Amino acid sequence: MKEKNYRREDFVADSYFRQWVKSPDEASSKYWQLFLDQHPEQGETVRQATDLVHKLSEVTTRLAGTANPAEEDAIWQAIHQQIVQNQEEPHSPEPVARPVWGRFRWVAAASVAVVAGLSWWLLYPDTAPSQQTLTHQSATSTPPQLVEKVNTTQQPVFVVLTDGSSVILQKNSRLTYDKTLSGNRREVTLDGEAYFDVAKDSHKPFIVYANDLVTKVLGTSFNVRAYSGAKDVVVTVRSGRVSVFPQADITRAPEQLTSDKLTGMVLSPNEQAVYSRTDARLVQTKPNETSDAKALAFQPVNADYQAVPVREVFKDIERSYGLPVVFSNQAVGNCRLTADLREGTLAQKLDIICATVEANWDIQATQIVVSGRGCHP
Amino acid sequence: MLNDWYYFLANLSTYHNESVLWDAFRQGDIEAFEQIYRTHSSALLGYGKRLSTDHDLVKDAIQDVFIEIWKRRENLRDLHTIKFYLFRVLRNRLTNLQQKALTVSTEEAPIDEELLLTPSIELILTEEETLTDQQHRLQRAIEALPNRQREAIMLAFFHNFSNDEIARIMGINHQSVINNLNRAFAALRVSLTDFSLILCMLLNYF
Repeated sequence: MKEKNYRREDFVADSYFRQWVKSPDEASSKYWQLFLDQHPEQGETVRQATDLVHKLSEVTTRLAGTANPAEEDAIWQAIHQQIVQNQEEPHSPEPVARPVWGRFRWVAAASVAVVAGLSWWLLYPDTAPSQQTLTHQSATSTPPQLVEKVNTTQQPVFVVLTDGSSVILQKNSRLTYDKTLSGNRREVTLDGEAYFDVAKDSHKPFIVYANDLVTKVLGTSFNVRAYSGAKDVVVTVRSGRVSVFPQADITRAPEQLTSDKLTGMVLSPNEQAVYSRTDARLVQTKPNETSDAKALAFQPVNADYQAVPVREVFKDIERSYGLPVVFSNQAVGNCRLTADLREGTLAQKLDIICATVEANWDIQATQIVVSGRGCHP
Repeated sequence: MLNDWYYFLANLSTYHNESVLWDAFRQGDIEAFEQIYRTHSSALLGYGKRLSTDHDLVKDAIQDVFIEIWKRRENLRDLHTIKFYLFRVLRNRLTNLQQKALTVSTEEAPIDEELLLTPSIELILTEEETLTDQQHRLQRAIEALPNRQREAIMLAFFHNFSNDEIARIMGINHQSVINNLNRAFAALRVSLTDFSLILCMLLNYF
């Protein structure tokens, strides 16, 4: 609001004014106090406008009518029934409330994810039970819904987890996780290579099981290369700190997984851990520009953008994550973005960008597709 | 009686903290989802019934909308977004399901001042005697507004949406929302002034 001499109605028609009257917070109070200081002649009008907002709120509340609990209950029953049916179909044909079965399925599936195509396990059978104990401990009362993403394309595939963590899964790689990420830690199993942009949650560590190496973080970005045929498992950190443990250490001291401290070998940005599976040795190194090119290419977008066309911002994202971004409407690219994108995962950043320019984003095959009304150039 | 029901619900609620509720919902907790449903169901039912006279259709639409947000919960940003999303999707869905049953007029109707003055003088007089006289007049005047103006007023003052959200829910542009609100204010002012003038005259007369 810039001009002077507003009518009472001009205030009432203003969203920010209504918000201040109905649920004032520090920012709005400061704003309207400043307005009143600068326009003392509008004091009476503002008072009348405040009064009108209150009156209209009271009257519309009465107009909205009374609730009908019976009707609302009936609708809820229908919704509930449909959800439960849908949830059961994809993962188990059996009826609900089978936590015990759910737990065993999880153990079996987790083992399969690591064992599949892995004759190496057969040579060292003594390590197999450790995986089982581990997953068994992590099982919770809610039956997990195991999801498996396999990238059979030649391009990287973008996977977003429930908590907003973003995973870029490279070709011939497989990621297995509990869809709800419930329990006291977020656990995923990787076979192949993936870049992880983990959403911050200091109470729920994010844990990647990759062959015999366990990587634990509280919120950061890093790359794990653990192809089942390869001798080494390589973890490369791009931001924040992560800790890595050989699977055997975790079996000995599982509490390391749940603690909110980082123990084991702690890596900082651009540090790397290489775990040799043949002699079970964990070594800290610096990434190699040739062999780790893919991991090093990931550079989380972390700029503070000031009125930059969204087209440019998405170009940065394409470069940083190696994922193509496509506009379903080119005019979206014209919208300008002013936002601080230094924190958060890729999915969270896409959410912020799209919320700001009133667009939506979606993952379609190996692309990120952005749609919206767009802006004039 | 209504309040009792709300207190009852409030005590039933498992999640008293919004962010805990939100996390639980995102992780697929049906109890959390039910709590979100309970928070919005009566507002949505009220809103839907104003949009369509076919109340069964409204109930079906609400069911579909909640199934949809359950499926898309990972893409939703926060509780306020849910509320906005529910209203927007419900309106779309109702429009699609039964275009003709909608009582919403497609044109912005001119302000009908005659209509606002239809209640009989007797009725006005009896109501003037009560404490909430002004509320009654305002209420009747809002009821008499053209549908789009009334919808904008309800979304702005009862459901507490911003003009931008109202625009997106109603599928009109930002300026049209402000125009609708201003026309409504003008109509309400006319009715209020007229009624009080009549009242003054009558009071002076006696």
